[in-house]
Amino acid sequence: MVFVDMGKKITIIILLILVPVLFGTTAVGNFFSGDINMIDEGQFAAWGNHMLFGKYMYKDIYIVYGPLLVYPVYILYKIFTPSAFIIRLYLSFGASIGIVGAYYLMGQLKINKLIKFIFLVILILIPAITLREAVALWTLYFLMISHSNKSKILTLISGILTSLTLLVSQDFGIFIGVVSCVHYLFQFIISRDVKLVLTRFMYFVFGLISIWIGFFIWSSSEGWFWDYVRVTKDVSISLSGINVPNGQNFPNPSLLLESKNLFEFIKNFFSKEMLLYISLLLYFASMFYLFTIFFLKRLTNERYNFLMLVIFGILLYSILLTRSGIGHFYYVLPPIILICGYFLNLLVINYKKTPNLSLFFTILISVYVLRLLYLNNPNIIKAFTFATYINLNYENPSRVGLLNISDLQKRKIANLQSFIWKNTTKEDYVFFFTDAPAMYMLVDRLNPTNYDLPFAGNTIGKRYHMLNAIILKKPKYIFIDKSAWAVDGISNSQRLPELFSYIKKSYFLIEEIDKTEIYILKNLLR
Amino acid sequence: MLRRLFLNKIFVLSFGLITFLFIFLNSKYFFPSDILNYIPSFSEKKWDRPHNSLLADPVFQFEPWRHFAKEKIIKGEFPLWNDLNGGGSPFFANPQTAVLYPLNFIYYFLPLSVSLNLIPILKTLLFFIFTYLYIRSIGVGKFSAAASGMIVSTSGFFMVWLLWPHTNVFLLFPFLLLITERLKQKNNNVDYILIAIGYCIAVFGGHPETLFLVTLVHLLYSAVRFGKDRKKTLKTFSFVILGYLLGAVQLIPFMEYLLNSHAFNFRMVSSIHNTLPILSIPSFIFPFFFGAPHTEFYKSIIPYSNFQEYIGGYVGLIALISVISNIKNLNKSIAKLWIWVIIVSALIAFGIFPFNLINNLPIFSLNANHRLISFTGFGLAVLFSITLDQLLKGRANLFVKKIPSYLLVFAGVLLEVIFLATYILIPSLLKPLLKYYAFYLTITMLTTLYFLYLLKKKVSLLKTIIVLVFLQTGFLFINYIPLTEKSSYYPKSDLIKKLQDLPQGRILEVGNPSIYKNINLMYGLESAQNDDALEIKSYKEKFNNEFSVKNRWGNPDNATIDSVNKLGIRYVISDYDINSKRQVIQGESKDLLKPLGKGQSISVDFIAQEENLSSVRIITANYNRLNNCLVIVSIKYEDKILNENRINCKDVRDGMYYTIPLESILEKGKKYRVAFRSGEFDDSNAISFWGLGNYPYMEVLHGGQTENFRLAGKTKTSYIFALKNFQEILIDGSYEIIHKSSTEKIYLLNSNKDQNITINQTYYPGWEATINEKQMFASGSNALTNISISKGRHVLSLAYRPFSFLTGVLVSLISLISILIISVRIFMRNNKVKSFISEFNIKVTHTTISKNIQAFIIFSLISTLLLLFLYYLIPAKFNMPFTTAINWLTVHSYPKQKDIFYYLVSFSFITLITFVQWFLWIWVKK
Repeated sequence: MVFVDMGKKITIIILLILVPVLFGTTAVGNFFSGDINMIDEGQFAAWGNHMLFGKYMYKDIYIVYGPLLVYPVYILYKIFTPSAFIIRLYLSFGASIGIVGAYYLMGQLKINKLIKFIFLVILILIPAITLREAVALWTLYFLMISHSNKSKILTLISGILTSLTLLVSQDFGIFIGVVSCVHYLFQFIISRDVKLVLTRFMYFVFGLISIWIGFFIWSSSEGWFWDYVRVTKDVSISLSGINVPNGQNFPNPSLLLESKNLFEFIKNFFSKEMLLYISLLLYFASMFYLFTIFFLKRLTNERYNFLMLVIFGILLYSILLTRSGIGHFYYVLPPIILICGYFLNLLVINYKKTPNLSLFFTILISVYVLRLLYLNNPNIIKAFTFATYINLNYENPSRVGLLNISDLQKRKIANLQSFIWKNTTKEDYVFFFTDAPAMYMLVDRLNPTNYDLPFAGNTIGKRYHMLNAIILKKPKYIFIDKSAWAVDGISNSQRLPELFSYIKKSYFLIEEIDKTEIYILKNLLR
Repeated sequence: MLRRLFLNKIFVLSFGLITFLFIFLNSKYFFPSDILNYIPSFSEKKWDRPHNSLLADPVFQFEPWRHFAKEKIIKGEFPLWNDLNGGGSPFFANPQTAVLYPLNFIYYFLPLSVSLNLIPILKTLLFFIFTYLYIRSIGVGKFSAAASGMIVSTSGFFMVWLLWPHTNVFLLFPFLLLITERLKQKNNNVDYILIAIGYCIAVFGGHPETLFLVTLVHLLYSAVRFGKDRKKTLKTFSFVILGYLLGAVQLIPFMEYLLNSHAFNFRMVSSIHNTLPILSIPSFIFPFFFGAPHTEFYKSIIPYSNFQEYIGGYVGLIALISVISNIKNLNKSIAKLWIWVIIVSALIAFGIFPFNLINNLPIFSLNANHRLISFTGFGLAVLFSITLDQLLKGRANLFVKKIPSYLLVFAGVLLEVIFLATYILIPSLLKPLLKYYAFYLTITMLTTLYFLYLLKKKVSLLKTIIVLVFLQTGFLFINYIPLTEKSSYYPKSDLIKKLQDLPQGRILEVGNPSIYKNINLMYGLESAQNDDALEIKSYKEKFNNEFSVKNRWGNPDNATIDSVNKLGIRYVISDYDINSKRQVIQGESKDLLKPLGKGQSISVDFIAQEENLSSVRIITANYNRLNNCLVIVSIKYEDKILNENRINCKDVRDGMYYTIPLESILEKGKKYRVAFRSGEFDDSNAISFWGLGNYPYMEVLHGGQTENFRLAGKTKTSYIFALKNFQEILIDGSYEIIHKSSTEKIYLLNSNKDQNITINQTYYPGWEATINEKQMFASGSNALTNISISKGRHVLSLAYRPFSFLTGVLVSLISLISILIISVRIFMRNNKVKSFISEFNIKVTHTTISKNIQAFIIFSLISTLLLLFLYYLIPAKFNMPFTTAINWLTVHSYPKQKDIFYYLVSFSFITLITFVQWFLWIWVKK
């Protein structure tokens, strides 16, 4: 019987990993289809490749994520050859792990099977979960079960996972850390047996510290621990404020007030911008629900778990204050979707008591979720188009791998590879002024600066750091893609004026390949 | 008890009325800013005698610090670093700034006219309330407790140090005693938390020396009071430690500053005068025995001590006599304990053998232990309350009652006669002082006699003692701190205006004080000197090395280009032309010469060392009054007058350098005479000089020298000199300032070679340097900050991010969380809370889910509308924060903090207000 149960569980896990990989969507398509995302996927590609050249994270490469999110790419590159396919596989697999985590979290919230299934499908169809969310969700899960099972070992694991989350992503790590602190604070207040809470807290702290000791030894032996600390501080404090490279204003709700008629009001109410506010309404509802529960002294395990999820969600939502764009909205969605699932479950349970109210809120949640799905409409269609899966074309340029990318991207990559490989050696530096870090991996060349995404080096110190590196290391060629996407509509020539004027002064435009201008160092022309 | 006190309508109404009148109908400030008049540059146009010469620190230090803190806090910055004094110095780490002291928040957010008057009142009131409650807690009646509360809060220690941080801390002493007494009666966990909070506030109070003494006495007191109940003692000790940990945010940076300070080093190697002179004992009887600083004439007659120090034990003659004559009846354990406290603290304060040996112990040797006298005073007040209580209950029998009445009257009359005789006989100079003495001593004597009369004949009228006691305490000190005109609150002198018009730069004061001590902070000017009682060791030593000779004001009397350059100084302000060559004729100034009255003259001979005499520089005295005499000054060679000038006495300030133009051509090596001759003015309208014996301090200034400093401005009393080719960064190359704030500096450097550059900023731990955002090692070998840079263009960023502060924040936060956990646990286990929740629970259960949901929706809408209305009513303004980043936000000038503010405020507000509405809705349901 035990084996049958175990087999069933393993089957579910395998399915939960495979289905998202096969049918899950990404911001550019799905696992099989879609151009290489030169920025999101490209950054991992570039970092992994630079590490193959002997460069160190943080010390030689400016990385805004945790080391454990990047280092696996290096290992994968070491095992296999570097390619864009490996990156997509890595990121899709990470998302699948997260979906398994979400499945187990829903179990902790006692959501019924049908609703669980529906919301799993939604999570698969919206590119909401990345490896970062995945680790955070798993950590949250272990925090919940360590509490409900009162197990010391599980508490130790939750401590270990909290550290790992921080080493995967600074912001997710901080949020999970805060949730853990709130949890223990709450336990210290309400628990009758303070000694027991203290013992478990010590286990948690031990788990937390043990990983950091290991990490400290590893990173110090490679000589980049303090660089990691510096970058983490920069990312957590500086980049969360006015210095943020990619961030716009939080949308203004006045859009709703400007509606001329009811139809427009409904349309505006479900607009992309207003989705952010509807999400907030969900958090308000959650807070009021929890307040009531608290005063009714009906804080069950399941509701306590919900409390932790809500706190995590509210903290995660704050990302939207500093980052903009629908891509970032996706990142804050996992807890929101789980909260929707939880409420839907409640409405179903209470349907008999309050049929009208339950129906009304069920419709409201459903419309909201459908609207979320509609955001990713093109990619969902792609995921369910048979052609996506059979149109595998292996005549890709080198280092692209088994990805079905557009002919335009194929041609562009091939042409640039051919130019660079013809005109440079492996010892030569090349610099992509526009944000296309994937190219460093695709052409297998080193970046003279630490910034594979030049837009991230937008403060004066970073700009001069880049400029000095360019002056010192003298990259033979500099590439400026005229068709490149300008982050937030601010081009890199605008963001990096000193560097741009230096390029214009010291480099000479020699060629243009597929809208990419190629500049050569003037000294080399003589 | 506190509730009862506030229910006393007469108390509340009278106090409220007095406070209201004092704050809102008062056109003046309860602040001694008139002391600025001592500085010549502030009294160029008109000189008014400052009221109290001892109230300098509040004006020169505490107020400028509070002002600086206020400016930063209002801007949303935490005042960690003072970039305007001594090449930069830790600000928050200097505990005397008391940035986090709760009462100072009144100063940060309310207008000056309210805060300057309200804070001292609140301090006095709190001290009164805590003392009253404490004395009540030891079983003394209301009247006696109130009388003692009034005594300690209006006399001696508390009055003279009212504007100092000492009293910020000391006012918590009776509070801590009160908690100890409560704990003795009942073991209540809330009281332990109050101990921790009390200590935390005391730490924020800003006077570690007083804090040390308070802790010491309180812990000993607790240990004795708890006796064999060691658990309570131990728990009290633990919560005292928790209180200190709660204040770690202040303590840890302070410890770092202390260890890096000049003061610590200085105190380690040289003894401090931490005892009171025996000679000051009469101050227990009459506080102004050795002079009254708020009268026309005051000079401390006891070396290394001043009135403020030895007055600490004074609580009034009535209280003293009562306690001494009732000593036999003070036999309860609490009274005995206080007798011990009084004796031991007084013996240590006066340094009586073997108690003086304590001053050699670690920590004690660094501490101002003579301030233990304040505990003597406090103890006397406590014992007085017990005595008075016994008197009112008819249980006391004071032996003074046995002294025959006629003897007392005779003693009083005799004293008055002596005064009268002295008044007739003494010189006119001291008459105003004696007049003052006679008046107040008469009051003290008459009130004491009346008290003794009451004791003997009219015990039923004994409650009128409160008036008598007030006449001996509050009344005596009523005018100690003056009410000053608002116009005297840091006015902009001509010198200040001129300095503000010049590009910002560090200023060195030479000769007379002009922007003395830390008052530069009031005007946003930068001073090369700092006077925060600690001072960074490296900078101070460098300063002392460069300017080893200091004048009576602690200022250098001369400056060279080299020394000025080494300290990054841009401007020198001086009372004389520092480009001229000084020839000091007589360099001592410790004696006050006799007045230059009618027919008096003084002359000084000297051998000329240079040819071009430009002026003569002396140190004047004006007897702290405005004189309108004239003094003729002449330079003579063998009875031939070469040049003559006059001193207009109304321009003369006490102890200040005064330069008289006296241009003459001299012959090197020949003897000349400078003569000072008075006009027809008597001693009451005469000035004098400071000097040695009969010889005035004098130097002659010779002109025609090379102009090392460029004259950048001149006022009636000061010169402003600027350094030619001043450089903020010593670099072979060029630099551009991109951003400068007190805690962050960004420069764009263009270095011609690999080199070590010096930045005009004192080196101190916590300053992080980055070159192009890569951490760099900064050193401070020459007191200023040095960094190695390579050839090329770089962005140098210096930011103050002290690890000590972060550690302090962390420790305080953990302690705060611990206290919160303990508090909430106590709260949750309270039976009243439990029954309240149960009752509420029943009410919620009786409300259907749909009704609850509907209510939440309606209440959320109400909250949202209310919030929108508030936003409309109080529109928030957001300035674009400084950044060097180029991104969407900077391109579109969008202040990002706006989103964060709206998110946090809106989310919290709507959640909270909705919940409160729901809570009330449920609660009003039957």
